[in-house]
Amino acid sequence: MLEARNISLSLGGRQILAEVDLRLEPGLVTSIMGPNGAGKTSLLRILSGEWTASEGSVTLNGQPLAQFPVRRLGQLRAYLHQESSLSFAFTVLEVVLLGRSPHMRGGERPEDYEAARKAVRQVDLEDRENDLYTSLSGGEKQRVHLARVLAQLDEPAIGEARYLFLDEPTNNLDLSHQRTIYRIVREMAGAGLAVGMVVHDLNQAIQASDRVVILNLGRIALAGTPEEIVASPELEGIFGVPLRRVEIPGARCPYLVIDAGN
Amino acid sequence: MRGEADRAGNGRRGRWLSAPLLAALVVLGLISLGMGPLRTSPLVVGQVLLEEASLGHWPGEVDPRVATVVMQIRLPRILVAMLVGASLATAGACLQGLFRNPLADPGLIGVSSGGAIGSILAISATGVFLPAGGLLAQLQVPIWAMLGAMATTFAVYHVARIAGKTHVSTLLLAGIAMNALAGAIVGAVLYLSDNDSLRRFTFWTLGSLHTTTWQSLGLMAPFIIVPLLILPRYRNALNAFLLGEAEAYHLGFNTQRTKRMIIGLCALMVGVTVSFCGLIGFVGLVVPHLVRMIWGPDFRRLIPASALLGSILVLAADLLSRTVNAPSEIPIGVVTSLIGAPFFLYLIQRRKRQLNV
Repeated sequence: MLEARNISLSLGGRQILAEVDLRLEPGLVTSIMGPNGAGKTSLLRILSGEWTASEGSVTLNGQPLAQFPVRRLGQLRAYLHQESSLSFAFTVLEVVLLGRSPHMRGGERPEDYEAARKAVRQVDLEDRENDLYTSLSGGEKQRVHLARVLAQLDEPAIGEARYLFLDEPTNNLDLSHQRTIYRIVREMAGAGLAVGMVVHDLNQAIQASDRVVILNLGRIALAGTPEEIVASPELEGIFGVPLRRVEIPGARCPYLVIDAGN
Repeated sequence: MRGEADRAGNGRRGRWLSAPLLAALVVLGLISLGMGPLRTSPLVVGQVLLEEASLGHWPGEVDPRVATVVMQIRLPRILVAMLVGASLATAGACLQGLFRNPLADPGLIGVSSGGAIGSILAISATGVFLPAGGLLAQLQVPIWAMLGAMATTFAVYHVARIAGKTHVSTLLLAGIAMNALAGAIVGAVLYLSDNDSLRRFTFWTLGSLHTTTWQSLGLMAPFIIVPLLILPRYRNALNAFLLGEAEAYHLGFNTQRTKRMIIGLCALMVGVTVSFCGLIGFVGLVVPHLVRMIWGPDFRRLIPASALLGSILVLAADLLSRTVNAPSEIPIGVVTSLIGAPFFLYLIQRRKRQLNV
């Protein structure tokens, strides 16, 4: 389990996060949502160890995050940034193989290729694995990086709980690939990974999550199951729009639609 | 149409050919040993080498004049050319990785200029900074060059970085500023110099290998060979750096240490090269580009291939510089710039869209 206690962060005198408590548990998908500037990405960076909180502590599998060697962290958690770019002409497969770095000593082993190819298939890029990354569209590039982080965590022998952090994973993606992402996220949780993701699209993410945390002005405004969140009357205040809850047959909980007033 | 062509060539990598590259380097070296005002046939060159290798027990007759030219003038110079080429090309490749920017070149981004500032200040103030004798006195110029190169690399890295990334435009602008500063300092020192130092200083700006001796080779070699041996250890980290510093961290690399080591080792090589041979431009830009075109951007090949191809290029440029207008020499920096500057223009033309930041 990854546990953040009483996290606060100030940058240049500005309070970004205040007294945030959060847990990521194996097998569960936790979505972090909130208005722009609520501190979602900052929180994800702190949970993953990329940034250090001004106050509070993060423990990973019971041990303070700061005590882990960087390489070990690379084996236990992967992070998909909102935007990664690469101006060098690697092939798709070569970029995904970079995800195997924390598991390699020296060169790639057959199992590294296996994990990379499996991840490439998962994001529907198998027919482009030898194409140059630089020749891909924005959405395809985003999927290559997703495959890279999936390959990074595809090491069941590690024997400890693993964590997948996704910052706006559906950015740049068309509807069908957005669906693919949520399917993959569920599969990863099903395989025992703890997933923490920052998402904008409330409805899709809520359907795919086990827990939802809503941040507002750096504090946790709401936390609970998707059903509890959707039902909360506070949502309107947080996002600053009137909302209507629409029942969709077969959906897990009602969809949120902006109420146009008529 | 263009897209089709790109796809056809996608992901195709040339086979890794270290043996032929190495062989080409050795052959070019042997040819260089025979070329110069005193034309020596390959056979005679071979005899001289065997005579030396057998410590004088070789039965053949060797003209001692020829032997002196080959052993005392040409051989050290050729070895220095190889070292200089390897150091500049490898430093270029590694800095491009660190800056995540294929247009980083020790000359363009001001690392060489930093080295020049350091060495010129040290030369013009000999005995002031380090009033020591012996080995330390001979090393004080390289040491100051190295410090200058290191300081500028860190400065440029910090100036050019915006939110974790270096943009081509800010990087090159920072380089222009560094080069202008170096130009001003060199100009001031030149203006205040007497005739003799004037000639010594002019060579910084154009680059030359003509002062090479076995002694200068011995002083340079460790500062180039040691970094060349250490840098390949960072090949995987450099590959990850191409994705971004944060990404490299998440992939399990100690980014701070990697950054410091790369900058330190590159500055060491470039600084020493500049202090002994002056400014030899564009090697660090042209060579890694050629290597990436043939073998792709993976640092596991990029580092050794750049070192080898850099050696070949500088050796060839030096051969040109001392034979085209023999017996007088064209500065080697002129030759590399004549090759490199048009190549740079071609790259800018090709990458126009990316430059529009």
